[in-house]
Amino acid sequence: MRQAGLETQRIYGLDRSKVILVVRCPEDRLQDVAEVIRLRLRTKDGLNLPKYLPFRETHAGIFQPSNEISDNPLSHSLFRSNDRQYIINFILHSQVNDTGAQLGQRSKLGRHIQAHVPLHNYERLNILYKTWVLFWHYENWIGRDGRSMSSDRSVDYEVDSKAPPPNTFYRFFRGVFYQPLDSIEQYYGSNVAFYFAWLQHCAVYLVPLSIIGFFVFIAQLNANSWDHWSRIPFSFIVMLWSFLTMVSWNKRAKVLAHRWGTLNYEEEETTRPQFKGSYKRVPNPANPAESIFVRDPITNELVFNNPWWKRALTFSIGILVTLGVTLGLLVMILIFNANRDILIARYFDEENEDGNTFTWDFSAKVIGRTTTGVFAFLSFYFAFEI
Amino acid sequence: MTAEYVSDPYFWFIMIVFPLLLGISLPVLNFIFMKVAVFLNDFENYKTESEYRNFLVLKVFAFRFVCYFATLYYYAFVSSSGFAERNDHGYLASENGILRVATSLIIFVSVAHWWLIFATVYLPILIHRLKNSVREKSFHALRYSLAEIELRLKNWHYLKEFPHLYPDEKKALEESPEDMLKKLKNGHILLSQAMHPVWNETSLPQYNSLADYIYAVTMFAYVTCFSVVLPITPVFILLNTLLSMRVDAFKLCQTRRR
Repeated sequence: MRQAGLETQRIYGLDRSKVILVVRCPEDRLQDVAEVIRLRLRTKDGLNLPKYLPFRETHAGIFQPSNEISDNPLSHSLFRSNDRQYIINFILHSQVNDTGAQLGQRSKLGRHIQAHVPLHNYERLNILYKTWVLFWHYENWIGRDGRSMSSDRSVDYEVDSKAPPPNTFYRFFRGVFYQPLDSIEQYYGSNVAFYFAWLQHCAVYLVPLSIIGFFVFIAQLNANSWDHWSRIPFSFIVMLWSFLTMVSWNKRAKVLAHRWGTLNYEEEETTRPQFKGSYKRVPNPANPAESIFVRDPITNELVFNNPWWKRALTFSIGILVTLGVTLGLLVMILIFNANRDILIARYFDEENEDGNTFTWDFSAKVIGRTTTGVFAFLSFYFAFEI
Repeated sequence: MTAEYVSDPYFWFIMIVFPLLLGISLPVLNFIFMKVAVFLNDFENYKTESEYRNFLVLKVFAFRFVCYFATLYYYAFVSSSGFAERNDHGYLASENGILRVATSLIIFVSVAHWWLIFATVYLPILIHRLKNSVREKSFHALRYSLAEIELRLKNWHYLKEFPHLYPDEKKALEESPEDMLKKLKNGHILLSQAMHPVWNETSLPQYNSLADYIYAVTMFAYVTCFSVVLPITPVFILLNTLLSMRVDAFKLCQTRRR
């Protein structure tokens, strides 16, 4: 790893059979590799350039330095921590000939590696934790309101910075709908940030629906019947609501993707390190007794894959097991509910003397006893799945 | 529904405890199936990351769909025949069916969800603490043995002079003081390395965003599909969503590795 330009520190465990290697990559090495893999970085504002460009070491000045707080205050890295992780991972997995460390899963040494774990940056994590989890704290609200909490860039929202922070009650009930999404994206990546953005979006949209739903529920309780007139408009409202939520989420997701530079982002289709395959061979046309390796006509690399019959076999086994387990669960749930039904039916049947005896039937026949419509249900289920 | 039923504990036993049992065991089944699905996916040996992820989502989602919706659909569309023989045009039957969907739903979005939070957030913390205390004990043992060696080194002169006074230390005297010093040094280095916070951090579990994503989708589906049956569902889901936001934040910051 040192040959590949990485700085390492070795830490033994108590039983001496496990070792942790703490890996750090110096900035110039990061820049070298970033240029080779054409990593796309954010450019500085106001230069009349596209927002994201592939990195070039000679033009390092046009890229925006990351404003991340790091453990080392002297380092002003151009790379955000997920870029750094990506580069280090790339170095670890590439061949020694390409100045890598050749520690992929298929290499001799790499097999002994149990896990690659990116370490927390506690300074940043603590700041994130304070603004995210302990959002109602007084110091989070100095010079900002709830809306600006979901953004790190102060230019996005005009905030009266001299206004005193509101009271705790207000801070809690307004702040609960906001999260520091930009910081989350910077620290954990867009995958995690989108999950929390969806939760936030959903929560905001649920507020009016839950107020209406609450009143409908109260009306039903008052009427002592489920069949209250308000249920019909309510079902229309729910339909409209789900439509509105999805449409506005589409819009919001696009805005966020643009903001985080993941719009129209397509994942590079590289081979997974865990993939087990073999180099494809065909019989040599000149001498059918021998076989030759197949090269990709475009990249001229050796074709590395799994034969189609193997893929088909493993896939069909996997699907069969999944279907079997899922159907098994379905039958189990149905048996469970059918038994409950029998108990309830017997309970309501006042002529029956032993209304309260507890019996249990584990056979699948019990489903047929309560209902003949189970096949209708199954067909409905499959229609829904397909 | 009459007052007679409401005051009978057996009625509530059938109505509440059964879906409760189901609601508590489903996350456990889900957890087991997640392991099975990952195993199957590894076995199926996909070449690219996106292919791998898509097939994992397909498997897990099919299973979860059955888990969380089978009961509700069963009561909503199938089970009413138990009451059909009564001649009230099925009105009582549908009312009872709705009552059962409602109780199942309310259990699924409240107790079952909170149990899930407990199982995914607090249980790992407890397990981690337990592991840590075991580790602490072994550190303590090592520290104790090092202190013993140190003491022996300090008093080595006396031990050598009056061996008959210390019959227990006979074996220890066979080691030379240089060896003991070396052992002490190595022991201290080992202790300081094994107590490095990195060990603590890497023993935390990894975050799995797929499970959270699927759960968010399920919650949304509850609102769109079943809030007509139980209009108070959105209130519960709203509370759950707000809770999830902060609890998952806590989970990510404190109980998971990066």
